[in-house]
Amino acid sequence: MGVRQLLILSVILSLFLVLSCGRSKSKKSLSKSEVQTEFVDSSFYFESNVKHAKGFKIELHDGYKELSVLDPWNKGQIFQKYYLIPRGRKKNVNLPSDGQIIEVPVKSIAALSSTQIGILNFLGVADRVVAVSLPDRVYNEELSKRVEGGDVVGVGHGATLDFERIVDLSPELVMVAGFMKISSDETKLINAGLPVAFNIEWMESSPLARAEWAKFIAAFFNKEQKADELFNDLENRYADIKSKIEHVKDRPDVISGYHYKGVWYMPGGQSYLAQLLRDAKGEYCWFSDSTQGSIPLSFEVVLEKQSNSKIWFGPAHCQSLKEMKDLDERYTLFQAYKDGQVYSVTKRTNDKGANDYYESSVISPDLLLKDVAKVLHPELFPSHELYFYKKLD
Amino acid sequence: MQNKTKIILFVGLFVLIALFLVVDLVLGSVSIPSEKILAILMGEDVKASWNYIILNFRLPKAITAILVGAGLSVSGLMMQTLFRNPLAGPYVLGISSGASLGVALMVMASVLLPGVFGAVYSFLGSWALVVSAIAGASIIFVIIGMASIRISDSVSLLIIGIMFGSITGAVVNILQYFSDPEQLQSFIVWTFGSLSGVTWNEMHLMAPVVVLGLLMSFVLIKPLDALLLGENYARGVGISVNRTRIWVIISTALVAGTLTAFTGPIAFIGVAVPHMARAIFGTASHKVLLPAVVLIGAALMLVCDILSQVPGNQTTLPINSVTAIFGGPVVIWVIVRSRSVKASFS
Amino acid sequence: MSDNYCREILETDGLSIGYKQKRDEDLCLLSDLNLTVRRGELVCLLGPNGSGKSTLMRTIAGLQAPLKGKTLVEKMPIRERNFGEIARLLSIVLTERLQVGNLSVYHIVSLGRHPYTSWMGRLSEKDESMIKWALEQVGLWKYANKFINQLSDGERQRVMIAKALAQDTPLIMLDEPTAHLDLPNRVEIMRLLRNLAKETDKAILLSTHELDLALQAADVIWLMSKNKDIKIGAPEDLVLSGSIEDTFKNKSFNFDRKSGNFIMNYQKKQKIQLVGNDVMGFWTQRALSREGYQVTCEKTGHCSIHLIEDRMEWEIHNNGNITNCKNIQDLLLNLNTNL
Repeated sequence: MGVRQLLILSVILSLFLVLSCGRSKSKKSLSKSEVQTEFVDSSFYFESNVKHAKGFKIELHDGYKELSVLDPWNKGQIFQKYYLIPRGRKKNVNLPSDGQIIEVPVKSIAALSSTQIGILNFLGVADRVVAVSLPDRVYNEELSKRVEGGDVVGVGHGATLDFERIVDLSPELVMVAGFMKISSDETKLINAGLPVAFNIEWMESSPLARAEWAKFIAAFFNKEQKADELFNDLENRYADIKSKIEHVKDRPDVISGYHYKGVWYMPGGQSYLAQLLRDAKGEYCWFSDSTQGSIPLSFEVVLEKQSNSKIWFGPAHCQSLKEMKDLDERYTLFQAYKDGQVYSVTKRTNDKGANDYYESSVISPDLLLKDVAKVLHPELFPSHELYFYKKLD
Repeated sequence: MQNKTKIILFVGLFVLIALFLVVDLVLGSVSIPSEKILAILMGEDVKASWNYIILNFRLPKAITAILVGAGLSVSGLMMQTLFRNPLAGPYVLGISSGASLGVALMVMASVLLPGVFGAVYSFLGSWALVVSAIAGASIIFVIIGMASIRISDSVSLLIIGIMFGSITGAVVNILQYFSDPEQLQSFIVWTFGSLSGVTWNEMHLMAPVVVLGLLMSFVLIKPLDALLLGENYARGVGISVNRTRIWVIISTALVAGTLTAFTGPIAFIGVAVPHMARAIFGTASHKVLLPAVVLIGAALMLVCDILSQVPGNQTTLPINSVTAIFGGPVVIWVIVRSRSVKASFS
Repeated sequence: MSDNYCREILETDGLSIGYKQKRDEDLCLLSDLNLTVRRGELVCLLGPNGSGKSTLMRTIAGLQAPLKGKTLVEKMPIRERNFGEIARLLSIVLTERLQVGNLSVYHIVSLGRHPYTSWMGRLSEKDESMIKWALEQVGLWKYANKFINQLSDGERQRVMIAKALAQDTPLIMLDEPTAHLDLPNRVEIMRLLRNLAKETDKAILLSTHELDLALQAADVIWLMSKNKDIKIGAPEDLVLSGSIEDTFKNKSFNFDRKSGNFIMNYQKKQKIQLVGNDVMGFWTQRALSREGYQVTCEKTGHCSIHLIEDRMEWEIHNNGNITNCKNIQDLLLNLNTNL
């Protein structure tokens, strides 16, 4: 019987050796290369001027562009570098090897985060989207139609990312949100020959800085000039709104977040909401906190500090005051609740549950600011109707 | 059981494995015709994306399934013999808990203690999870190994292993409680287990280590058989029980620890497959059971991987659920039909 | 016979056995033992429960450390040898029940060949012939392919003995091999062991608390008793010297040197005369003793019992009356009603 066992062993072993030796070499590049063109799109050479955003840099070199995404979790480190080169020009330039090389303009993109849809729409290139994470959650109408028509495919995200689908689609760019480090999933995509762009706009500390990442995305489409123009408009509108809030004296106290299983997730002092509150002249007792995300607090602390807050920018999963009460009766202890001053970002939702807030809010900080300001100071902007926020009733 | 019957069963299992391997390669969210798959395996360039999918996703996944099935089953068998306990499995010495702890610390404490962990994180890149899992498993392994030298009684060792599992599990729970939803999700996803996360690069490390561990276990067939009679009789025929125990632990740590580091914990297989093997082959002899367990484990794991892709096209079920839901009834059926568990352990 | 044929296969030199205890003094059961086991001998380690038989066996076999002194197997200290060497010199049979059922008899006996097989456990021709021989010796060759859980207790024990035989060691040690067995099996095993010692020139050392079988089968007895030294000698010597009686002394029974049996001490009621001897008389006397009568040959009192041997009947002569009884049960009943 010993001979038999040795046979079995050797068969199994040789199977592995044979299979493992050869295969690692077939890591073929999947991006489609264009026929060489002599004519180069001149919009490639537009040099963006990045004013507010601190998370990325664009440098124009001789024949190529260097795009760096900085690592906000490790000061001074670079998260990822990209070398953008006009289509067909790859052979002409010697590119360094410390970044992903991408031929622009990109013709197809998998936009795996909702905010990217908003920005792509903003830049007018939403038709180049070939894949999204959750096709049912798309608010943008044209994109939605294309989903139904089968031109846009859902590929999941995070743990449920459908690799085979994405690889089969072979989009020229995959854009993800980026968190802390390049995950093994993302590395797999890069190894499969799919360039991955890390969009870390959400770590910026001001609404305009976040919106300015439109320029980052624009670089992949040679739309930087358009982005620049549109952004300038946006900047002006924002400044305009801000100036109108300047001389407001009253600074109402604000509470936010929701309570879940013993923890109250309160947006931190550097969160998006907090940034807006500063500009909108609201008062928030957590301004001095330095977290980008949420602070985990206990119910008692929140009750003690913010039970008398006037306005509640509340949980997005509640559509009515009654729903809030059903979730947790103690919400009724808060003054903001008693006064019915609870607002949530559910105004622009469709019947499938898609919420435009997640798609467009990053690229519309002006509307957001107006919304928040109007809620805080009802006397301002009398003609403005709340765009993203809805008062709960 | 006749020798002839045994040979037929073994050959049958080989055939099944080949069959399941083929099916596993055919199934996936992108439908690729089988003739093309064959062509790709032969080295032909059919279509860039299809080549990539077959050779770099499905093939390593299938091989991972085979290694996991074989490795965990062998570890489980050795643990059941060493501790004379039908419920023992590869994780009974706390090795997978150690791996979990390593991963949990890496994923979640990196936010709580950014400085140190951040540096380690960015240095290791995509190997971070694997390294932390191996580190965690190794620490527990060393502790258990030291305990094994000092404690001559297998039952005590078993209890110590289980206690360590509980302690590390509790620490992990605490980490989870204080972490951000994203980290939490990330860790929980790791605990679901996944066969598809292993790249060829990682396979170059994982496969040899696992195969080495398996070879070690084959060398241990003789002492394991002697241990079936009890530790006293084993000593009586010249087996050093302590030394055997240490080698069994090393082999299990190598196999189960490494596999868990790369795929996350995969429950159930290690405990169930040895019982299936005993029931099918009707013997407790490791000369038969060890190869049997390798083949049955590989086949079962391939089946579970196939099943995890079947519901619809887009979604795949987490492998841990499939092994338990599918494997459970199979084992119950097998055991009810034969009285081998009682015969093996009483 | 090999070159280093050693008749004294096992010797102990100043051996003290007991248990090391952490805080208190070592618990010493026996000290300064100088024992010998020779080839071709069946040695029985005899003693009441709790006298330290298992401790001595374990210490001699190298499973437990002695407090002092050493055990020599083939003239070399056992603790200097590695497990493999020991396994070629000494094989063991224990009382513990196997926890595995689905191993074949053949497989279990083949485990006895472990010290001689390669790392893979492959069985050579010699191994297989040894296994066959061992199974034939215990009369279980035709059961070779059965699973051990299909055998009776006695057969299982014989399988373990076969395994020890297959291990081909000059010394076999058995720890209470006849516990859990019924009488026919007990007798069978002792007989088997005795034959093996004589025919294969092996040394067999077994511990037991079954006096009657040990007295009949052993060449040498090591008699252990609590807090006393070991007494060594041929069974008959130990009986005649009174050692057996001493060791097993008890308020409730006596060891009868004549019959080699234990006689229970019953409360003696009255004397009665028994006329007649031999087998019938022996058993009648036992029955009467059980009822509390003190049996004598001389005339005493009014009552006497006469044996009618050719008819297997009893007569009670009481004050001139004769009562005839067909069996002992009747006899006793009549006695009770008469007296």
